[in-house]
Order: sequence, then structure tokens, then C-alpha cells
Amino acid sequence: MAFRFSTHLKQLPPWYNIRGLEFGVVLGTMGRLVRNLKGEVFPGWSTKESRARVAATLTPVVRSMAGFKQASHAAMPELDKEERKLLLERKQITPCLAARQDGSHVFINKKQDTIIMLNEEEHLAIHRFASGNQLDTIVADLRKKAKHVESQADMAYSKEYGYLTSMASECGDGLQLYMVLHLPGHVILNQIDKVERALNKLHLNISPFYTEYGEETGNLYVLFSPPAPLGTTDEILKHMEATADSLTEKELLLRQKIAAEDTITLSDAIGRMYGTLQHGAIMRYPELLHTVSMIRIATETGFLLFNGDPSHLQARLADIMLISSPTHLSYTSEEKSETIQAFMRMHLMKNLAAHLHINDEFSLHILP
Amino acid sequence: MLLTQIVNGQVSDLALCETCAREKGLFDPQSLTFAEKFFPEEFKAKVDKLVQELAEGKRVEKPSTKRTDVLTKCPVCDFPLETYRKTGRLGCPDCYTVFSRELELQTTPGATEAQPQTHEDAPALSRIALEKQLKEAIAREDYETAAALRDQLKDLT
Ligand SMILES: [Zn+2]
Ligand SMILES: [Zn+2]
Repeated sequence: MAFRFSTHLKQLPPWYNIRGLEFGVVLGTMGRLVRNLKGEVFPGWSTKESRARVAATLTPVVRSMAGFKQASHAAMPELDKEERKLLLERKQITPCLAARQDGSHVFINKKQDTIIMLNEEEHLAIHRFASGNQLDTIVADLRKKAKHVESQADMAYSKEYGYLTSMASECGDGLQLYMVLHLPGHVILNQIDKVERALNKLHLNISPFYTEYGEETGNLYVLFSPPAPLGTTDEILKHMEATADSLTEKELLLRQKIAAEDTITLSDAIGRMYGTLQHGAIMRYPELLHTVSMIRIATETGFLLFNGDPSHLQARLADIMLISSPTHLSYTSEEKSETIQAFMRMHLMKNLAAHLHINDEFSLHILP
Repeated sequence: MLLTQIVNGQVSDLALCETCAREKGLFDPQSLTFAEKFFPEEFKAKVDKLVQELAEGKRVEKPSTKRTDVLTKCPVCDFPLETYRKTGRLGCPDCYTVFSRELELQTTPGATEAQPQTHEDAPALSRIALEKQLKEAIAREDYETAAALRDQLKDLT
């Protein structure tokens, strides 16, 4: 029996904390594959009846995919606003699907690493997530899924344009890639603009990873490709991989530079953050995003020591970012008071901080 | 029927019906361009503009160059060519064949390829800076500035 959708929403996606990956800079990877049925009107222009027909054709195709026989499912009208908001915040559905009603559906596999949307912007949209830098795995898996889908249903394709999409400029391979990067070194040393300009030449984009909770992004950025024009996926994949590698290398260098050349400022900032964790009582979500970034910098540069496996720390930080958002706390704890939510959030951080301590080598003493 | 809309990350109901929106030429107001798919917070200005246009009952008519396409509507799905010109969207897979002449104009490979190199040496305002200003403009509900910034951002791509 498929498990309930609401249960799903209360669990963390297990892919989120897979251990043993390079977590320092590339935190996660996502691929989006889209396909449309031949002879059916695109969801944005279609009637309720044609959406129902599309869903009826594609549902058995989804169910026949590996891992989707038992996948949890919801028809969009079954989901309330809170649930939509939560799925949206986890990037598990797109704003377009969140706004849809009759005839639109979402499927999530048990591992929560693959989401399938029916009658989103396109008839079929598959999102595949992985922690760390796993572009290769994601592209290979999406290609396998595409092949399966095409063996089961007749998809709209033209030799000239490739796979046809509702947005004319997005037709082609029907594939798009995203990466989430933690770039505090680039931010502190004002290197983001330079990266931007370099990426323009490769037709790649980088954008701050905004949440709905204010300006603070915790130094997170999204690197993304445009939807691949026909036959360009391999080239885009190559560019994305090369970009991720060079950004990682550069970021680690910049962090070392900051730690070496601006020791006093950095150790002060880390000390203040650590002090807040020891003696503060509440933490708002934007402050949490900032603190998570600071803990990452502090442990990676050796200012703070973590007693435990470093990948456990990274996994825990990723979990906390997800479970301590206002939307998530309201949904899972049913606690609506902002102050009490902020108290719960701080409690989570204090539990983690208990395993962190200041590296004495770096503490600055005033000499008599 | 209400359309559920997401404004600034908040899911809320928008008091307009699908039929009305379509009559006004506002085809699929929920759909987003690819960059906006994961940044619902960023398109508040766009949504506000759509809502405003609906309220005022006006359409932003682009002076469309008269093309020689015989059909102004897709015979399969009734999708108007004019809407494609305004939104870049199509109604069904067959629209690609019906409006092929129009599409040829938009998807000339050289046209998009050459652009990024032109402002390589003259980065007036970076995307990040523009995006930041856009967010600020939205925050202070200055939608005029937001619209102008959004157009500048569009020009960057
Ligand atoms: Zn109406
Ligand atoms: Zn059509």
C-alpha cells in the first residue's frame, strides 16, 4: 500500500543526508526532465477534460517506473495551502504546480529523491535530487527514465526542435540542471560578480538562493543551466561540471585566504556566533541561515572543532535548515507562535553546538 | 472559480477566473519562465502587474510586425498567434507546425548566441546587483522601478 502523503511531509528526504560526499562547497544537485504527450494541449491552455485525459494516460506510465509502484501520490485538489507551501519550500514542487488544481498530480518516491508532476507547466515533469556533486548520476538516471517513458507513451517530438514544450524557447532535450553551492569565500571577498560574468559566456547562470524569509541566504547560490537546446545536454553537463570543480577549488582557496589574512575579524565573528549559541534563547530563521553558514566556515577553517564525523555535521546542518523553517515548524509541531518557534529553533542549534568547541590555537589572547 | 496564486512565496487565492484571464489575453498567469521556477519570491512584481492589468482591463499591446502567416489561430487548439508573440508560449505540440514561420524568426541560433559576448567588457550593473535592487524595489512596493529593473535583467540574458 502506498503510504500517506501527510506522513511523507513530516519525514525528511533521506537523500538529503547521504554521507561521504564532498559537502564543503557543492551541497546538492537537481535535474529537471520534461515531456509532453503528442496531440494533447499543454496544461496552461488545456481544459479540465484534456488534463484528466493526460493524467489518465501518464499515471500508469509513472506507476510502471522503478520505485514508483508504491510511491505516494496526491491529486492537487487534495493538498491544502500549508502542504503546498511546504512542498514548494522543499523545492519538491514548482510554483506552477502549487497553483494548479483539477487534473494535476504529484508523485514522490519513498527515497524522496524523485518527484513526478503531471500537468504542471508541461504534461510530465520529473525532478531528481541528490546531495553533493552528482550531476553525472542525475543525468544518467533521468535519461533512463525518459527512455522508459518514451517506450510507454507517444511523446511530442520534432526533428527540428526536439521535445516540444509549452514555452517555445525551452524545447530541445527537455532537460535542465541545477546545483546548490555554499560560497562564503566568494561573498566575503566580493567575487560573485566576476563569477557571473565568466558564466555568461558559458550560458550558465548563478543566482542567490533566496527563501521567502528575507534577504539572508546563508551564502547559498544556485548554479543553473537554461533548458538544453536540442543535442546540447552533454556540452552543458561538461560546462556545469567544469564550473562546479573550478568554483569549489576557488572557494576553498578564498576561505584559506580569509582565515590567514583576516584572522582577527573571522575569529571575532565566529566567537560571537558561538556565544549566541551558548547564551541566547531564541533564533529567527534568517539568523539560523547565517549561523549555519558560519558553522560551516568555522569548522572548515578549523576555528571550531566538531567532535564527530564531519559528514554527520554537514548532514545535521542540512536537516536543521529544512526542519526549522517557519513553514516546517508550523506543519510538524502545529506551533504557530513565532517566539516559541524561534525557541524551538534555538534548541535544535544548541543541541548541535554541544558538539562544537573553539579551537584554542585560534583564540586570541590580549597580552599584558 | 478561483485561481490559486503564489505571491512572494505565499499561497493565496486570486479572485479571477481562468476564462476571464484567457479572454484578457493573460494566458496561464501561473506559468513561469525557467529562472523563476525555483524563485517564487522573485516574481511578485510580475504577478502584481498581471493583476493590475486585469483590474484595469487593459492589455499591453506590443506593436507586432505583420507576418505572412496565414493562420492567426492554431486549428487544433485555438491558441492565438498573438499570445505566442506576447508570452513566448504555445498551446499544443501542433502549434509548432502551425506557427513554424513565426518560430523560425525567434529561434535563429545566431541571434541568441551573439548576445552574451557583447556586454562582456561593459558590465554596467551585474545580475546580482540588479536582482538585489529588484528585491528592494519589490519590498518597498515600488513596482514601476521593479518593472524597469526586470526589463534590464531580461536584457542581460
Ligand atoms: Zn470570470
Ligand atoms: Zn495548437
